[in-house]
Amino acid sequence: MTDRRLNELNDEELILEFQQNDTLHAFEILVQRYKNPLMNYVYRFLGDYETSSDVVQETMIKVYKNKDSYKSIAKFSTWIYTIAGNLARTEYQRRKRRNIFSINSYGENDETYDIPDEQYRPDVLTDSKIKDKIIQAAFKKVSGAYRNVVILRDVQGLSYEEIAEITNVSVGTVKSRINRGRAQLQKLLKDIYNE
Amino acid sequence: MGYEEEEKMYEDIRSLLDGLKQVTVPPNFDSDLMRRINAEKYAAPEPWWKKIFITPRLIPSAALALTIIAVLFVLNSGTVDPENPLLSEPRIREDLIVNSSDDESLSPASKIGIELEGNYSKGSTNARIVSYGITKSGLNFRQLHLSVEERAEIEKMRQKLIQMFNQTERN
Repeated sequence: MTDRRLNELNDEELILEFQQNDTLHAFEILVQRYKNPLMNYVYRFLGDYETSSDVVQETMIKVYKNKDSYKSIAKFSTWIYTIAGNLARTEYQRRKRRNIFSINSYGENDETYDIPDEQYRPDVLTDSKIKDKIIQAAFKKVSGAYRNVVILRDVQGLSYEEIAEITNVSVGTVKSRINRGRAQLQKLLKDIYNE
Repeated sequence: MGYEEEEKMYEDIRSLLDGLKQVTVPPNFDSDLMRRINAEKYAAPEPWWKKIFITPRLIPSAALALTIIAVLFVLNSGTVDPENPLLSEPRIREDLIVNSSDDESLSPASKIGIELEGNYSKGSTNARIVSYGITKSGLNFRQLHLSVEERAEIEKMRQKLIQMFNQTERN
């Protein structure tokens, strides 16, 4: 199959081509399509650029090695997001274990703490980079289960159904978690959008 | 609260997150990825003997498991299984066992080898002793090798017992 023809295929057709004919270029096209969305997702979840890049690479390697475990009944995007999400969560837990004194914790019922940070006072907010940093810092203070779904919905723009499939919970639970996560973020970021 | 109301309630936070800068992969991402894939693809398979040896991260859990086993072993070896004397069967002494006969027609004297003449009925005795030879039949006893003095002693006691028995008979 020619490169031009491959580029016209959708994700599911590409992975099928990779599964059946071992066409490396089909895999490369999928990498091109998903590397940045996944990087954005994992980075917003972990908050560390280098680690996020490693996690996305690991995701791609898993897709490459386990291409046959993909079943065409599922959307390719939800499959690859699930892999990336699982790896990101594993990395998050590993980092948490390493950092005994971490004040943020993953889990729906875990307490979070809001620490006043003088570095990011509203009156010195002029740069979008600083704003970005504040939002990222706020993300870290939101419980992991809520953070994950808020990122998938409000940053990545996925549907509730897709998020439910990725996180393996019901749509109702997804909506509830998103609202709780948003409420936590709203509380943490009130100084930014009230300015 | 309805879906639209909830979406409106968090509109500010949604627009804030929507406006976040998209984070992209580093420039060398593709080349690094292909290098890693090729490295794994052409990597030599792990030798079988490496799989036998325990991996370092399993050492703490293996040590814990061994410690638990050792503690259980020590605790078990120290305990004596106490037998409840009220529930256990009494020890049988073979030298004291007498195989009783179920024959009701036999008198207690016959059972131990004393021959009687006359009628014997339960409750009253009108019989006379003919012989006092105690036989070994029906007895499960330990054979003792007695000395001459002991035999004489027993014979003396037997004669005394016969006299007493005859006196009782006459009375």
